[in-house]
Amino acid sequence: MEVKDKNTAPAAAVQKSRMPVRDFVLKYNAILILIGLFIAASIISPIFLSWTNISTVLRQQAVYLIIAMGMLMVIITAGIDLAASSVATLSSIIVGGCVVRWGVGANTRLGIWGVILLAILTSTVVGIVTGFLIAKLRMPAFIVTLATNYACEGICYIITKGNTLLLDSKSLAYEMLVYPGFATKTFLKVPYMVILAVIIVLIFHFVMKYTTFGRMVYAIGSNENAVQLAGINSKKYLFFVYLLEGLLCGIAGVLMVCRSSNASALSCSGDYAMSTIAGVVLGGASLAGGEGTVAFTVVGVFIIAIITNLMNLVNLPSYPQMVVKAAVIILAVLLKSVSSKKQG
Amino acid sequence: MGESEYRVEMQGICKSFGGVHALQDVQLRMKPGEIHALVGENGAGKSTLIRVLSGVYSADAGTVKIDGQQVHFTGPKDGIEAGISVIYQEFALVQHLTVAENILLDDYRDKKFVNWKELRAKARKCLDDLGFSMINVNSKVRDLSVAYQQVVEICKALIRNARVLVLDEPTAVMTNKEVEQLFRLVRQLKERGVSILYVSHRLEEIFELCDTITVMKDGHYVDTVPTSSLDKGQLVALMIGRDLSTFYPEREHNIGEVVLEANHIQAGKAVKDISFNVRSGEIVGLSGLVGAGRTECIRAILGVDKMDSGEVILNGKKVSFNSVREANRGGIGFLPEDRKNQGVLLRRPIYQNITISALKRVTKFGWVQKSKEDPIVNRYVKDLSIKLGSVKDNVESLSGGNQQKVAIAKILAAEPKVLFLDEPTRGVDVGAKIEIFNIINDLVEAGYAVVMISSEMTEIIGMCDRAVVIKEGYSVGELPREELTEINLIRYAMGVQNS
Repeated sequence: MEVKDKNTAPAAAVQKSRMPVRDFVLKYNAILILIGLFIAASIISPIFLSWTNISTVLRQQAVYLIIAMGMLMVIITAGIDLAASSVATLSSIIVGGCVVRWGVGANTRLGIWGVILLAILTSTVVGIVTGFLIAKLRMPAFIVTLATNYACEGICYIITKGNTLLLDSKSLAYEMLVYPGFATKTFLKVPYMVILAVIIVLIFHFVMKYTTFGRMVYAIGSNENAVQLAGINSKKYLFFVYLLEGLLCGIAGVLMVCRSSNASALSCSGDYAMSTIAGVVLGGASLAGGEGTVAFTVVGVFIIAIITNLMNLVNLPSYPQMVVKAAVIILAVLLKSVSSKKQG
Repeated sequence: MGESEYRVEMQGICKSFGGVHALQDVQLRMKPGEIHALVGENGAGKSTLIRVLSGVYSADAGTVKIDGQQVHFTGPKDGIEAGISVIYQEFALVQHLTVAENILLDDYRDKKFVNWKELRAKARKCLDDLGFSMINVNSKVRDLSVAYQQVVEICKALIRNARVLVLDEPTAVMTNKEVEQLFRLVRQLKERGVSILYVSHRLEEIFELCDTITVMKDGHYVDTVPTSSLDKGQLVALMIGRDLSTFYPEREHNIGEVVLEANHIQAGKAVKDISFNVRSGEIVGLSGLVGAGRTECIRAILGVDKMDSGEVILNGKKVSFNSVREANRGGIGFLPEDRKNQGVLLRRPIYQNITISALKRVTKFGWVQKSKEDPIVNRYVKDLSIKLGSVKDNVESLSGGNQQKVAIAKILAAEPKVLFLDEPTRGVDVGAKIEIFNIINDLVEAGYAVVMISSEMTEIIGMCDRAVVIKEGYSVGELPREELTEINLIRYAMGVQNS
């Protein structure tokens, strides 16, 4: 063993001496890609750097960022959430259903807050069920969330009967949620909903870094067996990960109503799960678990965002956009698998 | 083909991993139609030798001849083509495929379509020839008994025209009846001229079945003898007979009251009836062969696996743990045997590993307080002299010995009173071993009660105040310090104390 250490030591030293450039690229490739895209976009489209465009992108991304925080946690524990789109949509439909269809709590400010709370709670319940099945009953996250996705989509269609629930532009809900409320109101020119997303991102940044919970999430993802043998109730933490993912999807669902002033079951087949998974992976998280940071996830989410925005600005129709996005994701994962092979 | 008396001739085989010499100048000669036993303690190099023979490893030095022709295997496939088949303890069968598919797996791997009729007929013939016509070729392998699975493995080897068959501990999990069936089959193969290398710890079997015995010890060749020329006692003497090295550090013995008592533990198939106790300031060794049920016993006591019956008494009170967490709360620390997969989180920072079991003490409202965490981390890094660059580096950057020290630090940070150490020095170099022994000694002097599993007998003898020998799920003997000798341990472990 001692000899072995001596043998490997020089090899490691040699690697280290030519590491910096490659190491830097490997570690920060997401940021480099983002910067590259940013420059490319501002050259290709003169509108890209306008404040109107940037604030539109930010507003759009508020929803994705919030879901991505939950997705990040789930992926760090070596899980996956394929239900994010439907769970978020369910929350938006609870808001729309209460305010438009049933007229519940639509007339007072307090009532609308209640509706928002109810919407978030509904998604959280889905998270609780998911968490119970995955953490407690040890079912694979892939199957469980595939199923809950299907169930939630069904519920959304049951509630809406396939119609789009449009918020009346003269209603109180519209005033509070859409205009001149949450979606358009700004603080120092930054829309409220973006500020909310930033706050949530910051909270998760600190939670993942400085709390027992955050540490356990990483630990479980890196080796759950060892964590249990160290005397830790890993199931509890895993359960809370999915609960929080549900909660975050709930918040995102409310923001979806704020941004679009309507709620439709069609959003279930939106790209919320797809784009956030892609963002998290682009940000360097490993689907095998144990890796990934909040900061890099934000970078990953914005890589997808800029690509989407750029395609919109050059008027690429939305179906080719899907193909391009998919290609980008596959490229990103390819890059990751190639780079991790080189490290090993 | 060159003419040779021997089917297999291995000469001067050397193999080292890093700086560890697993094999040094080892030889093995087998005649056609010979049942040849390979014996030695755990870690004697038997497995390595098998892997060199089968082509999994290539030897650093030495020659391998098959039927007088020198061969150079670069992978297991070369070995199979040369007619060498190894049946490992964990079978290489595809559990959810049928018997026929498994037997002819190699045969139809390269074909594009499967001729089911021919496949079944071939498998049928192979089984019939061996006298196992009761095995249905259409049953799934997972539904067969262990012995029949073994038969399937052997059929698979025969389809590959195996002329040398290596059986690695084939009877480890078999019933007596199954063992008989296997013996019948092995004798049949012998008549067909197949050379069989039989690796086993069970001396009775070796004496019943084998023609010749090769003894290995610490990676060295000891001797090859005809079975008829010696008795069990003489064989045991060949297997040991090394002077105890003096590197086990001295400690003061201040043995106190009984802290933990385990009575008649029964759990699953591996643990039948195991009892032992441990006092404060004492190291109790659980000795025995690999697979005797020692780890499984500890896991049942700590609530990792289900305990079917038996009682655990901690500080005079009956307890039962459902998880390591509950055991931790009761003041028990557990060092699992598999450092990389169970002991540490390789890809997490060192400091997070150390405090993972003690986070309650360093957090306030769930937030980790650096001011409380750092002193704990620094204390254990210093106390256990863990050699590291920065505590923020991942554990995987450390050497094996230092990784193990991190695992120990993790347990100690939870402030236990009783320690269960499962193979605490596995896979660490000699220097680190001594350091770990010193750490254990310091703990025991400070009043900890330690239960230590070790497959290295010298370690049990050098470290323990007492040893309980486990054989096939039963605690078969307890040896006080004065009687702790290799010959006693091996006699109990192999069940030959009467001869």
